[in-house]
Amino acid sequence: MSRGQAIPLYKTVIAFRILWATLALVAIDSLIPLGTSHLFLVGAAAAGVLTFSHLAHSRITNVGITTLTIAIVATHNLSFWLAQRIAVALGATGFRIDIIKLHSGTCLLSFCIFGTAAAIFWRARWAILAEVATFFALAVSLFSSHRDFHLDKPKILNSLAWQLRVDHVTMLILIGTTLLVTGAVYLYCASIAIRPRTDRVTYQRAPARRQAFVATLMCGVVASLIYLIQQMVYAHFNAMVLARAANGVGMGSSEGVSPLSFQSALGSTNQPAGLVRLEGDYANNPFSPMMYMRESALSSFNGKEMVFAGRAYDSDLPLVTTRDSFSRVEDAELGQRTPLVQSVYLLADHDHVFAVDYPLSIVQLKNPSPKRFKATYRAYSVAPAYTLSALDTAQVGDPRWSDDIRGHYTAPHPDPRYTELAKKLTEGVTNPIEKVRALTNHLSRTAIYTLTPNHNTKPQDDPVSPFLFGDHRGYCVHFAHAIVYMARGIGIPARIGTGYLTDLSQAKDGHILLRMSDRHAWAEVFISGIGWVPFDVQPDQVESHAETQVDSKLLEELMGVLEPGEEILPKESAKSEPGMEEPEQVWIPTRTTLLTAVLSLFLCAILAKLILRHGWRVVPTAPLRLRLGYISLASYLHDLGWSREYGETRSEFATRCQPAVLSEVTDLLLRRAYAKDHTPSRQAVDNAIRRGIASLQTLPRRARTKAAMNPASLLKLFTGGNW
Amino acid sequence: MRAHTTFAWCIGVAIALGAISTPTLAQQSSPTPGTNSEALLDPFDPFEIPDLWDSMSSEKDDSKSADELLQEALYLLETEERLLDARTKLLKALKKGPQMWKIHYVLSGYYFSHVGHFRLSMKYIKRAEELFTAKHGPPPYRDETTQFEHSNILYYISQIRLSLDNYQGALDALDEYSRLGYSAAWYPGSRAWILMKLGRIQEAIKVARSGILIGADVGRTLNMLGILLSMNGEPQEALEVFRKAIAAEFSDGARGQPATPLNNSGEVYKELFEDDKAESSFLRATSLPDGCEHVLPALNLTLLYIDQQKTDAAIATLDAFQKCVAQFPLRNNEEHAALVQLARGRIDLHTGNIDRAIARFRAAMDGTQWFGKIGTNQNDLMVATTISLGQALVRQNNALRFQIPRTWSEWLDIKRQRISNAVESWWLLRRARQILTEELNDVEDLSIRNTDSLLEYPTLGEVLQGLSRAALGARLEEESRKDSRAPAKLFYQAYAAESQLSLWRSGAATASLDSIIERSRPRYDDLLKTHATLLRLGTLDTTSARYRELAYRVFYTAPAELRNYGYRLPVRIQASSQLRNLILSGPFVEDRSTRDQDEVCLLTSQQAISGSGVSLRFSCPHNSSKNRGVEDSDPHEVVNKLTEALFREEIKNGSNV
Repeated sequence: MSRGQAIPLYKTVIAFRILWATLALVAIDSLIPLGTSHLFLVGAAAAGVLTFSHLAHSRITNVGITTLTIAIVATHNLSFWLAQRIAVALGATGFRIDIIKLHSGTCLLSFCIFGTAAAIFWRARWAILAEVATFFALAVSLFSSHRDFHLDKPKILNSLAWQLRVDHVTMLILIGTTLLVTGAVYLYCASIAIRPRTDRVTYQRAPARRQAFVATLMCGVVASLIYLIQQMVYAHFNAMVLARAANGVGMGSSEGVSPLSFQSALGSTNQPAGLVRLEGDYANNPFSPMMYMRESALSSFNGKEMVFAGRAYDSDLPLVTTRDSFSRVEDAELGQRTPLVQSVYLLADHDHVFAVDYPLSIVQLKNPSPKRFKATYRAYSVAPAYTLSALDTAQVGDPRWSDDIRGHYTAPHPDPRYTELAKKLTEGVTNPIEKVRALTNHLSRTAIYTLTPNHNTKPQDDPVSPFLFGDHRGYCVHFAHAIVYMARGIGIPARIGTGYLTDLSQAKDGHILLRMSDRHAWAEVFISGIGWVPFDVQPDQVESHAETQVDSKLLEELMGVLEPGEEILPKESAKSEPGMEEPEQVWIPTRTTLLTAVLSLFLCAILAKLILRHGWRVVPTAPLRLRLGYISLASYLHDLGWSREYGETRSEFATRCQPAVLSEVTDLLLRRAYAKDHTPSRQAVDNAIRRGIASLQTLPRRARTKAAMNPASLLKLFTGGNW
Repeated sequence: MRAHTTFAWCIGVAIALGAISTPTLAQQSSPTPGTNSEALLDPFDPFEIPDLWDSMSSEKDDSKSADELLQEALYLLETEERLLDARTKLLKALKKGPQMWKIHYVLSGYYFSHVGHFRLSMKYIKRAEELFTAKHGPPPYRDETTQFEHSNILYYISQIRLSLDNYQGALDALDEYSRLGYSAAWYPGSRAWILMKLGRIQEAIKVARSGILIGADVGRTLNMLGILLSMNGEPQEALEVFRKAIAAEFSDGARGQPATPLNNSGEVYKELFEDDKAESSFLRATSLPDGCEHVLPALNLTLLYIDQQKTDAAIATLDAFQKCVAQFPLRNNEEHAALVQLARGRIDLHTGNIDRAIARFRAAMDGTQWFGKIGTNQNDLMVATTISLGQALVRQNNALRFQIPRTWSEWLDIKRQRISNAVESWWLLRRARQILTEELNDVEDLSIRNTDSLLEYPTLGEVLQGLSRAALGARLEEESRKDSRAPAKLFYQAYAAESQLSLWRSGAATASLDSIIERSRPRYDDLLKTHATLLRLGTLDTTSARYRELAYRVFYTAPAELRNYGYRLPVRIQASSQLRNLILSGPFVEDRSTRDQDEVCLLTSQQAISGSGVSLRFSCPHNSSKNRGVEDSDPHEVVNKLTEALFREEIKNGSNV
């Protein structure tokens, strides 16, 4: 039996190109506003694809098509130039015609770009590869910021991740997979579609078998690539636990372990971590507009770095999970503090609660939106209310401390250089607070803030010395360690606080959107009668910084979630008011919707195929039964890769097919069509179809399975194929 | 862009509300608004106050009634300005008394005045209205207190609708207000403002005038009238009215807001090209306590300074504004953030700090406002940032032309960036033209010193070039004919010349540009003069004496602009042939003329002090402040460093936005 020829996927490719143009236009518009209605732009793109595809299959040469394109653009501009001249001659002084020209120009651009691309596609085989390469180059360029682990960029990714309620890594993989699948489908369609010869109107008969094999192979390779890349990306990002760390400050407070990283401060930047709502004014915040929210503290030195000491020492930390409550009695010895209530709505997983120091109580809150918030709690703190100048004369340490505790917080680093440098920097200074300030001022002046210090240290080496005694390039983790080591070297009790440092000036109505980029580590010194006080380094020199603007739209949306519910503010109250619509948002289907849609599509395809194959059985009349029976058999053959060639008659095709699947049915069909008053009996029709089916059963099982799985007959059905 | 103070009015009204007013002195000194203690406290004893605060502590809120919480919240709002504490109490009160219209009313006021969350404010006020009607029945009301309360609800509805750009709805609420026979001092001014927004200027003027006649909130109504007269093309009358408004606001003492009419009068002066008076008005406005309640006075002053090429003064103005606004934590990052980014970006652009300018413009473009609302017309901001970014990318391309690559990859990267910049800037400027024509009343900014514009005018011509020549020519002619202000005509002339230059009609353009250079007002129109000079440079041969003269004129006043526009500076060179070639690849052209050698700066190379590199020295015989010396081990880099040293002005960055 001879094999069939290339499957004419002309219409499929056209439809695919129009769809692609639509997606491209929407994507471009989200990056740079195009200013013209999507409907017009997509219409122009579709017209361009259709027109130029038609031209590509015509006798017109490439030069002819180029000339025609130039002529269209020239005519467009000339007509507007003339219109403007006429308008001015008639006394008009406005730019109305320019407005029309700008819109029509954008549409023309869309028409020409997508049209020309279609023409090149049909005329030049290399165009397929070039198109795919361009497509991927643009995609890679768009998402290139991820190379540096800025998982929130571009912003559209952030928004999509937020709306789909998935993390950035999953979003990135979803987009990557979509791009790869789209590229693979495109390659498949493009490589097996017939293409015109430039010198003739007739279609070129492509060696379909070879092309289909290559296309299938290519799909296989792409699918493998998708799998491999996914595995690599997941493994890579999950190993970094980036979704839960930034600025080198991770989560977790296990005894003897540090959540801090010295290697790189890169990580999720604008990823929302939580929403903090201040339930009261905090006017006497000494660090205004900044606010420290402590999650943990590191006060033990393990020979290499500072680690969590355990509850025996840092008893001021609540260290409860976000699902637990906590309460303790206020330390009456610590003064200059003010009550501050904070409601925290976590948007990312956290191991432990965080709050402005010192939290006296943590209570669980009713989660207003479990879909949005991972956990919610309210912290009652006694927040710092001292002035920084009030610290000038204060003493360090707590007189109530035992020698063991005092020794714990003042244990110097074994490397004497820290103590030597501290002594040198504080020479002549007697006040302990002034001494700490001298240390922080020194680092603020000399240190260079960078996200990538790239110190070449071995795992067992001290990671701070290359910073402090080397190039002075580092980030908060290095700064905090250096200050603590030096402070302890001169007998000042110090530890490292970890958590969030947020800018209250970015807050709205007391609502603060915490991002992962707000994660921070800072040095703390214990001051008598006040408690642990942050002493932070603010480097004058910044080499690289991941600071980004707060996503105000997201903050607004979250604030909206916290608004009083329907029982207090019924929607009907302001329903009729214009201007009350929420800001326009791009509709993005949820995961469930997507899954349902894909499943429905799959089920529809199966149903359609079943109808195509067995539809003839339910039809009562013989002529229709015959017709549908023929289609059933022809579609089966089509799925096996055997199709009627261009110009081939049905009887020729039936003769060509071996085994003779179609012979009897074709014979009946032709007799019904051409012989006068000949209507085959239902019995004869059924017998002919059944014999056809029986001859198909003689084919190997593998071929039949392939035919059952192949969607080619459905594609032909929906693109109006002639069986 | 003129400011009107509807927000402040509402606060006043909230205080004026009899039924839910701030506790009076007697109330304040009564034993804590939250307890039923009968003991009377001495109102003049300062030590009684802590008791009051103690009783208002949030710890005891659970035992208080909704009404008590409401009273405490009002006290905290109006007297203590503890806004978040007040909000928390109000929400607690709402939980206890969800059917109390007064709580909804105050919360609406809170979100309207302090947060600017108009949609939420509207939800509360509509609920308040519903509950009010449920309690008192539909209007009209006989009881005066009920009338007063209802009138205030209507007032809020009108103001919130106004803020949500529902002008007709706002007017409908005011119509309802007057239909029910209510009256208040704010009514005429508010009605006039809404009528103005609906484009009914003449009607608005009548309303404002009648308001003044009956003495209704004179300061604000006069300010309103001034704006209307200015819009109606009566600047002198407007100035006279603003003068009265300023006096009236000053006479209001601490509650007066003289910065608003001062800023508006400054804008009128600016329109009249009375720059000194405009500067003086803006300076006074920014120095007043209410001067940083809005960014407009500072922004106007900055733009004026940019026009005069007073970079330091422009930066100082923005720094002062940001320091001042920092005292209002709830207002931080409001609409001013994007505007300040824009203004700082413009300064960066003119001083050659192009990368930073681009970053600022992109941030300003992304700078959406809280709750989707912006104090300034969003399209004005959009067009200004789009033009600025487009121009900045063009300038960056000009600067990249002169950057000498050290490696092939650097060369490739520069090429790639230039192509990307060219495409993006072309599209941005095209998009800007679209917004200008479509959204901004057929390029209303073409009317020179239109107050809505957020750009300095000399550079607008760059965008206008893309419009149809015939239409632009006709429009410029029309504007110039209508405009009686002599200095404005120079701007129209500059736009026309720029348009002619883009059509290679340099003959006609040259004469125009020479005339602009000659006639532009010294000190006030420095930016225009520089722009015209730079355009003129494009018509000249780089070896001509005129080119040399004009290039040095720009170099001495605004050196960054020379590179920004892609022009080279004529210099004498004393260096090896290799270094000479590199220097000539940078923004320099060798002046080989034998005459007037002293007018040209000299570039000499020597062995670097460190011994292993090259040193370049730039010295000017007539302007030693421009002398520079750089050295580097790489000859390519030394030229790049010199370019940066000469054509980028170091500015003190001030406080970052």
